[in-house]
Amino acid sequence: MSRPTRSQAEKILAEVPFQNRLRAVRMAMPSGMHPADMRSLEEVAWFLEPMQRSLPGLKLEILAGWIETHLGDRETAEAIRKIEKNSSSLAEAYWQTWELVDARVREAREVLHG
Amino acid sequence: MGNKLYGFMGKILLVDLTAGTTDVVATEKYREWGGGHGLGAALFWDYCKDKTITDGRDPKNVCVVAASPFSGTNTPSAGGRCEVVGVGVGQYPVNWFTRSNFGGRFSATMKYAGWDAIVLMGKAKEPVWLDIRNHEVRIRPAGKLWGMNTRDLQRKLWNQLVEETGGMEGWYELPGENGPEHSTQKPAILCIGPAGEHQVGQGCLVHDSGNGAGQCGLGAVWGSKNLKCIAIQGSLEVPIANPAALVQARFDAKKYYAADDDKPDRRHWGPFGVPARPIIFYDQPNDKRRVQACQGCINGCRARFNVGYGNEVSCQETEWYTKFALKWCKGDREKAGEIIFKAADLCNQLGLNSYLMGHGLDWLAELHHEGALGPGRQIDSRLDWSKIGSLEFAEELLTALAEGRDIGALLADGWVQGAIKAGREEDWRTGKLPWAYWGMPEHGYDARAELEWGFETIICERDMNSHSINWVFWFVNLSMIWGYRPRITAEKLARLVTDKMKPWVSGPEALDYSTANMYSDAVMDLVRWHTFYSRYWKNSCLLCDFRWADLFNTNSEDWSGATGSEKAGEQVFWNAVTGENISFNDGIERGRKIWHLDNAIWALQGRHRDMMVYADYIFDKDSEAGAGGLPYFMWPCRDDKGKWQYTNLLGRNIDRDRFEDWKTRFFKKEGLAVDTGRPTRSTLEKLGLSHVADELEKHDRLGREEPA
Repeated sequence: MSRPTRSQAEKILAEVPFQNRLRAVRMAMPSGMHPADMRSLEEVAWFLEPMQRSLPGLKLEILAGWIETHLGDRETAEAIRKIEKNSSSLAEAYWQTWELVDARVREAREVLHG
Repeated sequence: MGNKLYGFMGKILLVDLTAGTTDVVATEKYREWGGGHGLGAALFWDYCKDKTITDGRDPKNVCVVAASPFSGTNTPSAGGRCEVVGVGVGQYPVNWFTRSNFGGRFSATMKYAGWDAIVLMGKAKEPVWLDIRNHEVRIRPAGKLWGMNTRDLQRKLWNQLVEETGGMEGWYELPGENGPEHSTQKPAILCIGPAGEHQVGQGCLVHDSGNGAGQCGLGAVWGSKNLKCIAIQGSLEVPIANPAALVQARFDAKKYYAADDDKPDRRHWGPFGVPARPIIFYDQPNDKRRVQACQGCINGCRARFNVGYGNEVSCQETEWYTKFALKWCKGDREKAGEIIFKAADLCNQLGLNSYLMGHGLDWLAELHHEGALGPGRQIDSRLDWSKIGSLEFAEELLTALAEGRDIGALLADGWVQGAIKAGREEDWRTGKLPWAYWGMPEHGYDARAELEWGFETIICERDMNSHSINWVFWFVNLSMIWGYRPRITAEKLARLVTDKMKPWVSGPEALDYSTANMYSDAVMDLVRWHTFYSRYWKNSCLLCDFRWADLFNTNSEDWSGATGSEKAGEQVFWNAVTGENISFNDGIERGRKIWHLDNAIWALQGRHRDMMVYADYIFDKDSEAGAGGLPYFMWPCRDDKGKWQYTNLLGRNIDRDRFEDWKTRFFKKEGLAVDTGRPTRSTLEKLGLSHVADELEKHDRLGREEPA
């Protein structure tokens, strides 16, 4: 993906207003699905980072749409759509999306803070 | 039944807290009720003189703590569970006669002291505690014990009782038949913390470190009775009718159904045969862990770590604060973990049910963001909500909830009641506060998709929290998430599950949760089976929900589960322990009778079929809106050509009219009045409960007989 400009990086790292937060769930066996929400790409990375004891539950198309609409990062959104299309499983897709999002956050930080 | 009362200790302890006296009643009269919930409900019926009460804090309320014949034995995942019943606190619209249970070693120790159950009546004038050492029972002033958290209280009493009973370091002296006996076993203590003392609906009963009877505010019931704790020590043994058969059944359970540590099968399906594992929902602090289990359990769902916090915490208490702590710690997993586990510890110490916070804290945080909650706002709160996610905030919040202060004052009688009081009833109706039934939060399974969870909860009195059928969701959906072909096909799984339910269900169509079949008699029969199964085998015999029922199990040759099996079914253990010769289905019939007794109590409390409804949003909105980002909720279903496949059940609601029709058919099938859902005399008499019918008639709560 192309390196974001300074203004793009600021948007990528921004926190969206509360009413625009991204809703998801965390799945924990056997207690069930528990609500989660995120307001920044950084929080998405924390949410998707694999855990041994629970799984994220998130529609990747919704994530891609949220990134596009609220963070203005069409490239990341498209990359997530590709991951979803090509992954052999949802767990693999989550893993790859986490790596992608985490890398994007780091890159944006580098642009802003060196 | 044989003459000797095997499995039972033969005595039930009656405690009149108002008079400060105790008495003993023989268990014999109650043996038909099994133990646990059945025994508790029968005792509640006999000793609660006014069963119309609707607040668990009413001094007329009776709370029963009951063991089962399995308690204190090595029946797998059953020896340590304990049931508590009574009218609760925090439910909506009525605090029903209800139940909760917990694990550990309390019920076993109660049996070793010679007691099958303890019946708590009245209200002490001053705070007291019960000191039980075998047959010796004393009601003692609580003094400075009142005000202590559950950890300090137990530590204090363990030390105090050693000093009082002989003075040898670590040894406790007990009164025996032939003089003093000595034990190094610490007394088993069941207690309340500050939440129970303040009589808030989230108050629970806590035993040892992480065992809690959490749901329905039974801690508040003890607080209202001025009862701080029961400490028990025992040195007797449980009489087993056929010890060799019990040991053989345990060996057979291992041989035919359990996990094989030498050949681990990572794609195993079925609850009984999964390897032992901790039930925590955040990564453990490190791998320096010792397994901690309830007495006689094969699971070990709790753990002790070498970090000094989070010991024996488990399940929901390790989840509710996760997202907030992760945000606060900016994604630092280790720091967040410390906060999460310490917050879980704090719930146990305060004796506070964490389940409500799993969804409830989201609601409060949202109100804060909207400006509706804060100093001088619609909901006045002086807590520093900008620090949500920190340990400091968790301490402030939990203490406020436990002490009924700040936000806790609003929520003390229940969260729905609090929302209404604050002028936020609409939040509950729309699902912003997702309290789906009886003033309780969704468990984690959407009632519009997972039908048995919702239907059973509505025909009972609380979030049913029974996973027997729910394991279908987990094994199917986890397979798909990980990209495996489901190990068992939809058709085979439906057959395996429903074969265990015969003759209560006619065939596999009972597990078909498709929209076309969701209100069918077949699904209704599955709900009936599961309700009665849970009422007896789980809540009365006290088999643990994490392992039973075992409806499918890929460790066995034909993938059929241990439940009801000839070698290691529930009835095999029961018959070995008690000397009875009942079938698996006899147990379900007993569960049916217990449910009808419960329903009679609810009728006395004023239940009417119109109350038996979900919150509005379950009817008005489709499940996708409520389920957030859940990708799918796969379940075995038949398509319109009758072909079985796993199908996504998100995106539907419960239809009010069809649900009303479902209720009508359920009432007819169970011989209840269709206009009210109340028990009829003819049905009660058929169940041997004519005395119950008499009482209902006295209160004009008997249901109208249907024309023949």
